[in-house]
Amino acid sequence: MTQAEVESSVHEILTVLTQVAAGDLSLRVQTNEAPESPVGALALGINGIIEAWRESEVKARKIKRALEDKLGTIETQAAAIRELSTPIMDIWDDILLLPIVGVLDTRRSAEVMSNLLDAVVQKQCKYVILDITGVEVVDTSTADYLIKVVRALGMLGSRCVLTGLSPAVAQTLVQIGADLSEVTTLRSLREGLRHCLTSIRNER
Amino acid sequence: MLELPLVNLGDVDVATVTAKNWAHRIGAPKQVQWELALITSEAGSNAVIHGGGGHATLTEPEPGTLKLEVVDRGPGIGDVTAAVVEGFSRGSRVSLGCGLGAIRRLADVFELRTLPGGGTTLIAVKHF
Repeated sequence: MTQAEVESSVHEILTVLTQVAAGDLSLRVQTNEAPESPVGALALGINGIIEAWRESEVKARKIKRALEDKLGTIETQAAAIRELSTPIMDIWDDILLLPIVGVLDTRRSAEVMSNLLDAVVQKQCKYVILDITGVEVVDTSTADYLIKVVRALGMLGSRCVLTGLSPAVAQTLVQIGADLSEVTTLRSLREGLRHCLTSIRNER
Repeated sequence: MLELPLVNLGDVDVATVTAKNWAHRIGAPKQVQWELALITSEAGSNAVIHGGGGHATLTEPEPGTLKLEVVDRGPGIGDVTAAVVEGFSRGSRVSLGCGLGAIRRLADVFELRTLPGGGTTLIAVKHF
């Protein structure tokens, strides 16, 4: 191999490497040298590295796409779980049930209650059972808001029955001096349902 | 020590449940577990809705003390005294505007710092 040939081979290799570095992984070093010769071996080695790089790039892209898909799914599921966590159930003629489970912060209570008011208007029901067995503690502002919603329900023509108060929630209601004359509070959901059914029967 | 990301509202739910379970593991009474969960939920929602996301850190600096620190990237709160008053802010469509007030009432120590370069740090401590 002449000096000129070596120089031209090195030039070819450098050109390919520059383009590969810029992101074009489809290029390969072209050489007529035998694989046993130093330049041929070098070209072969470089082509091997580029190929390995391309393969790992393809794999990384696949993993990234799969991850993005998963993240999307998680987000959709989180939204679905939030929605499902406070279903409004049409359990009987004229009776809606709203069971609340878990941490009831100001954001969630605003969401839940606006959904409830919409449902009451839509279904025109006489009774709403608000079962908070699954809520251990609320802040005073949430308790206050709860009472306001009960009052709003009254304006819409529905009586509200509050069931499953925990000792701490009962204490909070007393603490804020809530007027409970407009609300029927009962120990359990079972008693609440019985109360509503009896009242409806008596009205007829 | 627990560090939890707060990027979307799903993260807030996860952080809330994690905080409650963590307090339970440490041995805090039920009431304190729930109060810490409420604080985490309020602070986390604020960080995501108003603060452009951030993260929450839960630590136990000494036995019987639970500390929550929430750092966000938001513009900060101009008037902290006004912000804890009910109905000060209603940034989102559905909100009562009393999240910070709730945190102040539920926590034993409550501190809110707006960093000069933007971002807010909220610290809430519960003793049991």
